[in-house]
Amino acid sequence: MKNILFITLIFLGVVYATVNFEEKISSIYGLIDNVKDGLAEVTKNASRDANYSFRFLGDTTKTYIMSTYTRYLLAPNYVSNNASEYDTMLTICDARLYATAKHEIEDDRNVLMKQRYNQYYFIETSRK
Amino acid sequence: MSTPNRFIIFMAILIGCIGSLYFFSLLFFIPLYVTTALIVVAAALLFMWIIPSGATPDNNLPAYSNRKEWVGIVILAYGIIWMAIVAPEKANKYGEWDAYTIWNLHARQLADPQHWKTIFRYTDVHADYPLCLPATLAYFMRLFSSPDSLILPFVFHMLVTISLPALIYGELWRKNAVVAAIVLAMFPIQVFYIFQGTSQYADVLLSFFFLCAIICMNYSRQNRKYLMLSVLFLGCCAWTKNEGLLLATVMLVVYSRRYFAKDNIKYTLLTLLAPIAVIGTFKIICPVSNDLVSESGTTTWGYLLDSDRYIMVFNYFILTAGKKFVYIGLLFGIYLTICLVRKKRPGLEFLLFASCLFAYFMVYVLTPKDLKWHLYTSCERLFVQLYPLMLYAIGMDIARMKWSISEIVQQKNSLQQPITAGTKQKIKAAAPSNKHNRGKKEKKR
Repeated sequence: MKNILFITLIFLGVVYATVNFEEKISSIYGLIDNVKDGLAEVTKNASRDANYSFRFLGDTTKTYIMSTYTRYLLAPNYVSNNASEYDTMLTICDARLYATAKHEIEDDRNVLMKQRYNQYYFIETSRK
Repeated sequence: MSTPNRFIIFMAILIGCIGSLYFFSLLFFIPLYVTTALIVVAAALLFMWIIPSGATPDNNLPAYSNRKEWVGIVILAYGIIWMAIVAPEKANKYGEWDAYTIWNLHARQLADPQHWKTIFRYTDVHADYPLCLPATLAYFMRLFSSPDSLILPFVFHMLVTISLPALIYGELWRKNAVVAAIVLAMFPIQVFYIFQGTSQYADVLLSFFFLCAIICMNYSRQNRKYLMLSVLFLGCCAWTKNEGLLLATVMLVVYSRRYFAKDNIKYTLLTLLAPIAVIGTFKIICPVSNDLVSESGTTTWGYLLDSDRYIMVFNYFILTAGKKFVYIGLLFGIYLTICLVRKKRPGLEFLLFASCLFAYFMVYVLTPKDLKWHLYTSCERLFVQLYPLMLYAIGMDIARMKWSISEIVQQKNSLQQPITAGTKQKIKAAAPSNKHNRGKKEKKR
């Protein structure tokens, strides 16, 4: 009986921690969630084989990639900043800064989405 | 080995088994339901193999009173609740950096049977990392149809983070209850361990496998299945992280007299075939080589003569131990003092720990990467990999010592007693009877 209790305690510990973790994460909505939600439209229509990258306008130090087949956002530093390595590169601009940053956006690029979450623009910037 | 610990060992080997079977199922386009059936069969076979007790040293240990057994359960419950409370506080929603960009990403890619090979596309995100952790997570992601789940990786890592101290506790409890309780408390006290566990990195899983390998090795003399399990766990180490290969090699060297003993060598080599098949297949299909290996050249051997690198690594090791592992430093000091006072040499487990630490030390000395950056980004995690081993080694050594005053006096007397003429006669008298016994045994055979 004590043997069963030993194992049960481990599982109860995991369940308790998980319940608390779930409560914690449901109250957090960060940058990654924001971008992920914003990109939902793009990923819905994109090819599963497509290899996307995006970066924040004006911030050349951070490049993010998002692989549509995983529906998963990947984060900076490990990722190359070279647009030619990706099928599509998107630039994200904070909607509140759009007016001041407009001169950095070339005319022939398409705005895919405007102020979807009142935070970002998604702009197609290059294609292989 | 106690029954709960055999359950934990079963769970650990099942993780390695699921990771391997799922990887092969992706490789050979096997549908999920067939993979699940194979995993269920493997789990049943492993259960039947591992759970029956057989003869182990624990069967010879005196049983505790019912009251003491309950005290043991209460202490364990206290330790687990402590960890379960601290863990969610420390956990990041998406896991920490490497979990997000490597381990969980790989898991999500592996959860897609059509496009899983895209895992090798991004060389910058360590496509060469072995797949035990991501493949296991990916299997459950597909099984529960939730590739976006943030809960699944957390549950998995929590299970490993809690099972590891419980395994050590289960091992030490019968040998010395006080030592077992202290060692268990060292896990929740050392918040960095829990932080690493909930960071969703592979380091705690690696240390879990490594510890399982060592514990199984300690039972290998009683039952050969533990020797085979130990070899399989070493394979799991190498299948989890590239450092695991180094740890497995060090262990095979330190315990070579047991792994490659005349009676065991056949079983060791045959069992090694399973992990070699899995890891070998992965290395063949993975187009990316390890960055440390590919970037090293003849110049890196020149680092061997650079004393500044040794000093820098040593200082960083001390700094990390002092910053992140304060309590273990205290325990280590107490342990060394006891060893000096009692004139006792550290056990084989401690020798293994020291060898692993030395191996990591030399990896840093020879690294082709910027040394400062390499130390900064990985040293703490390597310490976490060896932290349970160190606690287990210290715990086992202290638990093996005799602690009651009568036992100490008896031991001291037996050491100090000069061999008198009377003693010699006693030995002589005993010799023929031994021979007689041996003859009897041979006749029986």
